[in-house]
Amino acid sequence: MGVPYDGGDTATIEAGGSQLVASAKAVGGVAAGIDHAGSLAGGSGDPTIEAALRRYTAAASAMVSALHTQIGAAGQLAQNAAADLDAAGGH
Amino acid sequence: MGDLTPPEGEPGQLTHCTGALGTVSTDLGTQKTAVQHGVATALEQWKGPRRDDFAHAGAGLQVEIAMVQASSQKVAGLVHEYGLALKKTQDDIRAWAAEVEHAESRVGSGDDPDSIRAMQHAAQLRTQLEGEARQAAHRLKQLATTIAGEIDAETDLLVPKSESLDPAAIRRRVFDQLGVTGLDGPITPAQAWASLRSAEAAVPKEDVKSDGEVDWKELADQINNAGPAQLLAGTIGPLTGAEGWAVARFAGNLRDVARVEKNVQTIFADIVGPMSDLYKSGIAGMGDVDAQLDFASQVAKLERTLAGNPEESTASLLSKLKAGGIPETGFLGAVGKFLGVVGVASDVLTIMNPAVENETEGNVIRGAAGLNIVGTGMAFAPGMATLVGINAVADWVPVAGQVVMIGTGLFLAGDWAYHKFGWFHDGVDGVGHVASEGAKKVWDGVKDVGSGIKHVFSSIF
Repeated sequence: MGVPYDGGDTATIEAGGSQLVASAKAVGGVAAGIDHAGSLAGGSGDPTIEAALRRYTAAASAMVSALHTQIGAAGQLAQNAAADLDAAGGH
Repeated sequence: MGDLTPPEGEPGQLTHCTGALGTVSTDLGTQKTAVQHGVATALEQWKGPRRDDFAHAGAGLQVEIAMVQASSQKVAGLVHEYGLALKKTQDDIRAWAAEVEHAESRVGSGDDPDSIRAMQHAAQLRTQLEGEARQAAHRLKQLATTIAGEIDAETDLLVPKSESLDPAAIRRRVFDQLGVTGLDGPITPAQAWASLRSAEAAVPKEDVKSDGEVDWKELADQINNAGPAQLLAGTIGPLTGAEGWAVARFAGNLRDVARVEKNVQTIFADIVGPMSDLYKSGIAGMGDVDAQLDFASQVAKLERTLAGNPEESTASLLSKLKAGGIPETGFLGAVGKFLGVVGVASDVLTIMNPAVENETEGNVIRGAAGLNIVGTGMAFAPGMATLVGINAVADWVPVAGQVVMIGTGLFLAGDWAYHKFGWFHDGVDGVGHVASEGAKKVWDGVKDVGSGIKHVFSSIF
């Protein structure tokens, strides 16, 4: 589907976008591991550590979820750029 | 069982928690590389008008991933440390309980000399081991407090000022900070670009390579030329992802500090006066003040000791850094402590806006932030106790409250504040008249390092 333009090819832009979309999914999956770690916070037996660990895992899990969205957005933008260039005849 | 009851907790669960966080760190490292490759691939032949914006955002994404990667690795280590201590405490107390139980089982019912001796032995043993159990439980509680504080510090790096927030509020703040609130389903290109603004903000544009990779070396050079961080000059070398985000955050915070630099000294003038008033009004107790000041004096004393041969001290420190020989956490630990500087920016911002309505409370918070800056600054100032920077900055934990106001005042009371502000001069002298010997001793020591403190401020700001 790639179209040569300015000495290049939109196929690489599309490929980069696809890689980013795949990474977005993988990063999103990491949140489950963080949440699991948070669910084990009670094992400390200490309310101070438990609360701190729950706050940390909430922050890290939210960061990862947000990164899932951001990386997916980057992948989408690359794919859009490739499609736009294709539609414009590669120029 | 009484005091021979082991503390609550499941070390096995903490082992699983450590493993889960370690896996998170590893997975994120993998994905950071994958994102780097994806961005580089997309950019390889992308010549469109927004290519540079995409490269910038792509680099920022790597920094953001590295932030979570590094913190999860750090928190995994902290959980592991507490899990080991918990297990040891539980095992010890269980063993002591068994020992006492065994001794008591040998006590007969008669009143013959052997039975009496056995009873006395069992009673003595119980008293002794219950005391040891109490001490062990106390040490564990202290460790829990320390570790919880360190975990909170990691959370605070991800979400500043998050300590008072519950998990749901933290999540909302993260989403707001990163600009992804409400972006659950398909998004428009405009929304996609908007969601990447926070990623772009995570790394300076000039530190992004043409292929969208973060130029960690360039960032490191900036840091090394930035004054306080000369500490790490020549030791940063090739950065891992875990280290890289720290450098990037530091650079960003330096810029934040620079933006408010002109206001800082004026603001400090507003801190010191109310601080003296708080002491004189009796809000701060002398015993607490002494405890705080005694600690302060130890740092000042160490500074003076090191000042005798700073080159040797620095060389020794750098040697340890290069060898990864900093106790417990190695080079990463040094980088982690180096993150103490990151706190400077948020402390400055706290001084600017303590986010409370009550004026007195605001002054207390400002004072705590001020002490943090001074403590951090002292620890990282070139020529001023480089070794303190590594060994003590992590321990420099300013306590919230009025006592800190006094500590702050005395530390600010070098040539800089003492001679600059007449009203502060009067306030400090007032403290001197009524203070205990401990406070006077500290004041005598602190005024000697005044010029150093002045240098700290000129370095940081």
